[in-house]
Amino acid sequence: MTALAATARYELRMQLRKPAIWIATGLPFGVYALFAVLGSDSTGLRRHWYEISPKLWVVEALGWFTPALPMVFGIVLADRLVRDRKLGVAELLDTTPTNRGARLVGKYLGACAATAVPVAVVYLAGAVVFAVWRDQPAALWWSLAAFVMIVVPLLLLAGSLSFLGPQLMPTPLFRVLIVALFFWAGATEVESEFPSFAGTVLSLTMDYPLGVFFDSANATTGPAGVALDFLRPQPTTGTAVLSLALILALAAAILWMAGALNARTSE
Amino acid sequence: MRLDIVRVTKTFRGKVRALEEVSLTVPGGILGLLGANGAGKTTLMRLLTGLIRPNGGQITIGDHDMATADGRLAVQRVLGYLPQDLGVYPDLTARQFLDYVALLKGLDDRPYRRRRVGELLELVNIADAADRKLRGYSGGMRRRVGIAQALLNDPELLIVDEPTSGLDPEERIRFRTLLSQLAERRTVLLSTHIVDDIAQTCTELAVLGRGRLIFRGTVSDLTERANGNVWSLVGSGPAPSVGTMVSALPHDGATRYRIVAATRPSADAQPVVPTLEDGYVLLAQQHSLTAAESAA
Repeated sequence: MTALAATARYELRMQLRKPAIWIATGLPFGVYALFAVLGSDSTGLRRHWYEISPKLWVVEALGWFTPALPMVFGIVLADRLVRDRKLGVAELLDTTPTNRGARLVGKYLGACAATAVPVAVVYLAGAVVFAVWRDQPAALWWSLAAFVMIVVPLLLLAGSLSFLGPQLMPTPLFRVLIVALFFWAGATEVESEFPSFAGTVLSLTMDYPLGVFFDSANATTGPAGVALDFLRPQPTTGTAVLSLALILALAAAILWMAGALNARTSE
Repeated sequence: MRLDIVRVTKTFRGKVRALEEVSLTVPGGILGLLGANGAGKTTLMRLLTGLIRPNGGQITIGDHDMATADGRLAVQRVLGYLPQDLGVYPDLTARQFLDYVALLKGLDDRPYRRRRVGELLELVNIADAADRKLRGYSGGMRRRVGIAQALLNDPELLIVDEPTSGLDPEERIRFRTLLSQLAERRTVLLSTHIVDDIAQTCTELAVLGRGRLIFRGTVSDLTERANGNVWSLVGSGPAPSVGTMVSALPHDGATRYRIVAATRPSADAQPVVPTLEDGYVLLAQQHSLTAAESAA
């Protein structure tokens, strides 16, 4: 087994056993989803229960999760890399005949996978309920596609930020800053006078993939006549793919920086 | 496995000189590395494991040059290392932690890995607690896990930094015996500031002082150096101010002092047979005197 696979396996195992993971990600989304589904007829997902297509239903359901995901992922993952040094394990692992980069990637993938599990359980369980209740098996495929295209890229980006940020600043400060980043890069109004990534191909609410691939009515895409409009092209399949590629490339670049900084600190 | 350390210097952050022009050869077997806290022992250990690189000099282990990435990797394949401050994952059990380290050390064959982990858990006497989380382990138990992980790959080179700290007397004896047995067919570097660990385990030792190698020879050489410089005297007043006091024991309403000094500390002081500790104390005394003279 490679160092990458072994590290991913053990990181996944350690993270999944942490009650904090389930409390921080699964519980809020579970409660949220419960209110959404069982809430009054005029609000929440129940509003569309009998009216919309499976594709729209999974997008509506995801819409309840998406805005808070980067923030929650970032907060939960913030200590994963720096804790090896704090615990004193890093020195021992660095003397094993393994590539430090491979262990870093393994740790990253294991931690991200573990963090995704509670969200996946809640979201995909909701899709199963919908699929069975409405006799719409397509909901399963759409929810899976939405999970892979929306949740996974957000998780990978938040994960790489969480591997870099706490090396540059104290972990509690990073947790505060990632909340601020989430508002700046997604949750602000596009028309805001303050330049932000909201509604751009780098939006942390994934507007382009949501709008183009899932016809989400809540996605904000296209030029808005405000600053950073060059990042708000017309919504097409190409620009949605570009948005996904940019977010994944950004995640990879930040992870690379985290690895380089980690190696330098070890010296 | 032969170790050749030639004129190695290590400076941290451009200011703190941890090692200065240290040259040392270890042909094989077990070598004790003795020195006060801050003498540079841990820095030397970390250089040998490839964790840090020297600012000057050369380290060759076996046929491998530690200045190259390939050389470091080749050494790490045959290395067992117990760091001074061993960290563990508190959320894993001892068995899981050892399994993880074994995987990183390349023990890919699952049945063999399981068997090896089981054997080592028995060897360090924690088999009964092997499936308990490390969070609940005492310092001594964690130390034993550390010893087990260092032996996972049956290393040709074993580097142990303060291995017996936190162990109870029985475990300490057990571990010292194990180290001596392991040294029969591999190179073992035992770094410690506990003189007794070296006296009971090694025939050869090196002493570091303020980043320099101040002694390299046999345990009996260092012990004999103190011949004629170790004194015993009984007194009831203030402690003698001459030389370095090694011990003070109650004795018939007074105190029996053991003192290392170049001259007789008082007329009633009697010369006694030196131990390794006396030899080490005398060496440290002489070295600090030399350092003070150089500074002046």
